[in-house]
Amino acid sequence: MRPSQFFLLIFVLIALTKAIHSYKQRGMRTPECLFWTLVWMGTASIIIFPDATSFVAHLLGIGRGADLIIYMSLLITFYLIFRIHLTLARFEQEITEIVRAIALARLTEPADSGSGNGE
Amino acid sequence: MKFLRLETGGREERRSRGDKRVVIVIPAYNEERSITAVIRGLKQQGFARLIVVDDGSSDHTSERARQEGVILLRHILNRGLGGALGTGINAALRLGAELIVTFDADGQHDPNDVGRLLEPIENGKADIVIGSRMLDPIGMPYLRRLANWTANLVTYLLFQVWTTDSQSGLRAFSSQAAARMQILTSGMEVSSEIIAETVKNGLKCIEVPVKAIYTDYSLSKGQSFKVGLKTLMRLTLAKVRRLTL
Repeated sequence: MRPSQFFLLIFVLIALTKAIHSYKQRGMRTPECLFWTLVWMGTASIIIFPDATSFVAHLLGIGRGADLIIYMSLLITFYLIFRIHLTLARFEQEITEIVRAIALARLTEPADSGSGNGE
Repeated sequence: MKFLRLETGGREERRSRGDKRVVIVIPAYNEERSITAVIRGLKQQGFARLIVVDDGSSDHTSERARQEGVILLRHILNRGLGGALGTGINAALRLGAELIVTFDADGQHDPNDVGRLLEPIENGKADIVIGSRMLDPIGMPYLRRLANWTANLVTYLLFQVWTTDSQSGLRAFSSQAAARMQILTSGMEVSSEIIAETVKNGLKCIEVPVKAIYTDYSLSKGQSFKVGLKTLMRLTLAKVRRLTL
């Protein structure tokens, strides 16, 4: 085992422990915990058997297994950033709605400007 | 989009004092230097129902506006132009407005133009009227023209509507049109979004030339290059969001 593999495996182990710990503390639901366990187990197997990725890469017409991993990581990262953007946009909109509701709650028309049917 | 040129020099009668059907929405963020003059200018034209939306200013915008006897709404946090316009238009509808005008607080618009903006709606020729500073761009600095033109191009690419001044803050809506528009963005990108909403809802929109008063102050309050880039990015993301939602 190369040193890089060793350190990566330790990192994966820490992440996996965190996921299981969070599950035990009931902060994480079962499907979520299963998902992350699978993700980290998968990562661990790729670290231990890097050649396995070359096999999949060849199937997809990509030269090296390492390239496949980089492409996939970039794709997943961009997707996650987009998801975060959508969430932030929703938060922004919700904050605006709260601020608007507070402002409109005090809507009254001064006596000297128009009659209207102020609420 | 149809362009209608209403020449100046025609009848520009003052509105009968207190035209109750018209509500003017003035979004204001840190405009203590100009807000008083803007309010007085509009009142001189006979518009009595003014809503100032103080968008979380840290200066005395609210106090100045209150002294002038307007309907004052305060955002406890700064939400941006879109947020402030949304609040103001919502309030105007609640007050039973028939015609709603948006008017910038930085003093770049001429209160004389409001009447000409309302005419096409009153005559049933339009649902929304945008006051274009570009149909008669006298006095507009060249860099500003270029920036506006870029904004128009982006608006066209994203929403397939060509306007001569997509970033204009001077607009008039019929209440029916205002009620149908769904404003989702909070920042400066709202100007282009309003145009997109016009098309989506099949509303009749025309542009009329308006005067732009460029002072050092009003120029400093416009969109800087940096803010322009941010608007561009947010607008693109808003477009993606609309596609995915």
